[in-house]
Amino acid sequence: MKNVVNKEQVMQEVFEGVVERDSEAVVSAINKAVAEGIDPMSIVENGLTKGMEVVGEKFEKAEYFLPDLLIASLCVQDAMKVLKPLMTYGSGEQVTFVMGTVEGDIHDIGKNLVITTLEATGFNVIDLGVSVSAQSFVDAVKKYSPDLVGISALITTTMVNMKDIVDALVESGVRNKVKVIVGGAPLDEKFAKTIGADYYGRTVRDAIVVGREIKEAK
Amino acid sequence: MKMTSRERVLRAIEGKSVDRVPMEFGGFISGIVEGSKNSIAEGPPYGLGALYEYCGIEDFPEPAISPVLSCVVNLDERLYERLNSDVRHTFTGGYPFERLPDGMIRDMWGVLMKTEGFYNSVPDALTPLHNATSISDIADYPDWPDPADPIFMQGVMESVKCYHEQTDKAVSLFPGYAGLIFHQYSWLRGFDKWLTDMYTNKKFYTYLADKLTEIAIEIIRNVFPKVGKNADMILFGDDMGMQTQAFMSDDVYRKMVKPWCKRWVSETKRILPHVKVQYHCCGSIYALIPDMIDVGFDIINPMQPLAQNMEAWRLKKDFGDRVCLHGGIDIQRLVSFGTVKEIKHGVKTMCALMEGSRYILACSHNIEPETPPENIVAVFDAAIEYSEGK
Repeated sequence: MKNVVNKEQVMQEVFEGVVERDSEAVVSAINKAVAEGIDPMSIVENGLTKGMEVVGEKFEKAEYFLPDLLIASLCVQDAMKVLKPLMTYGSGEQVTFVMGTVEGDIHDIGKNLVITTLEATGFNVIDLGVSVSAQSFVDAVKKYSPDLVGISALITTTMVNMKDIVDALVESGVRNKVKVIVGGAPLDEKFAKTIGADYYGRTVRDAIVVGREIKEAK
Repeated sequence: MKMTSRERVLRAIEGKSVDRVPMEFGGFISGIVEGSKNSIAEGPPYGLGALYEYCGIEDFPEPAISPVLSCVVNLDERLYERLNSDVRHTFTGGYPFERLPDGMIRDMWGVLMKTEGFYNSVPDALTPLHNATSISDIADYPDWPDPADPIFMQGVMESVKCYHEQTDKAVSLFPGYAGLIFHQYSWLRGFDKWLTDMYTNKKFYTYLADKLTEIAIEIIRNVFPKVGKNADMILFGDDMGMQTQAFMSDDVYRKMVKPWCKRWVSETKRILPHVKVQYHCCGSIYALIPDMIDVGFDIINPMQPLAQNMEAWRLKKDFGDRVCLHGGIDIQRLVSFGTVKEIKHGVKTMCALMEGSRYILACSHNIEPETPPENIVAVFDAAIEYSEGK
């Protein structure tokens, strides 16, 4: 009985630490949770992800602001440093994203927020960084065999380069092996369709929904 | 009674009656982005060349771009006249960007930039203080500029005196690096860390904000006394908002931004008591405006109309009696993509709404290069037509 209370309590501490954007509290609660023998995936799903969901809701309601979002995401990154080595991914079920900012564009705040949240939700993410060429996306698809390629762009002058990446995936014969999701401030659903992407991700949540769909279909 | 441009602008700022709405085109935040010479026949991006061509100015000067951001600093007087701009623009000097072998650009503060389309972006991860952890990392940074460097005065006196003495226009001075304290913070430290430092690294944040403010104030102490009464308006700028909300809460703004702005504005007004200080701050900043007024800004720009709670009627209702509003003609959709008829309707509606208010008409930011030149001309012609009862 005591054990159950402890587990619930410690999970609540993880959750509250993320919502309160307190990295030390999150990491300390994570260490306690691990010591209690809680499954790392459960810590991610019931502590970190739920915390980030509340942070996202508060941001949308203008109770939280950009720094809150960034700091909460840093808390999750710190937590993931502890948890990642302990996580054993089920090889068949694990959904992998290859993510990068489009060539010519060096903005990565949005992409990094998405990556952190995806990781916190239990997805495997390979981050190719910023200004990633079409060839590097193709190489990464061949090397890592991901389920999804995620491409980000912040500005109108670089978002057009997203089409080159989709075209390169087609030309190299790997397009049918991956789904493509695109996101970023200047994009919309129509643009995503025009360039031949499978999904448009307006918010972090959209990427999670797509990832879960693919996981269920596996 | 017909007023001079200078009278019109200064009277509007002070809330006195004017003969027509004052207008501003040009400069750092109310001009046009690209200095290219593309013609109308070449199609978009048109650039300044197409605007000159549309206005019948064929022998225009090669556009010169400011070393600070991408603004044209040598607009032809005939273009100013054609668009009936009541304001003329002057700038402090700075060293030209250094082009590095890898294609990056480096400015005189050691900030690295990458050209993306028509803009230079600062990659957060490559900012020179991105990995700084201590106050001594800031103090030991090798590329702090010398505020006494005569480069900052370069060209200033010639231009302010020329416009003040030879025209009846209001003269605006943009002090460049010395008027962008928190932009400088994010360019040196990274946008992400600027925002997180103010929450989690307050001692570091305070030291760096102090350092940047002290440098800016030292520069203006050298420049402004010499400028004297030749300048009517001084521009200070920082972006604090995105489309849907401010970057930070009003409480955080009050504690982590406002004090440094106040130091800068107080010093400017101590040196130049007559001058009107204009604050440029993009995005949805409605919640911060009462504090911005308290800082001492006389003019708030750009009234970004499609941002949350930034409609002209709302700003007029809530702040119009306390501060001069500046901008408001939307470039995100109306001027960029609208028809001439739609633009003229929009501008005339704005003129009617703001008539009798403390207001200067301008586009809500620099006009994008894709904008057809007839759209730009339509903005300023519509305001004149409104004043003539058309």
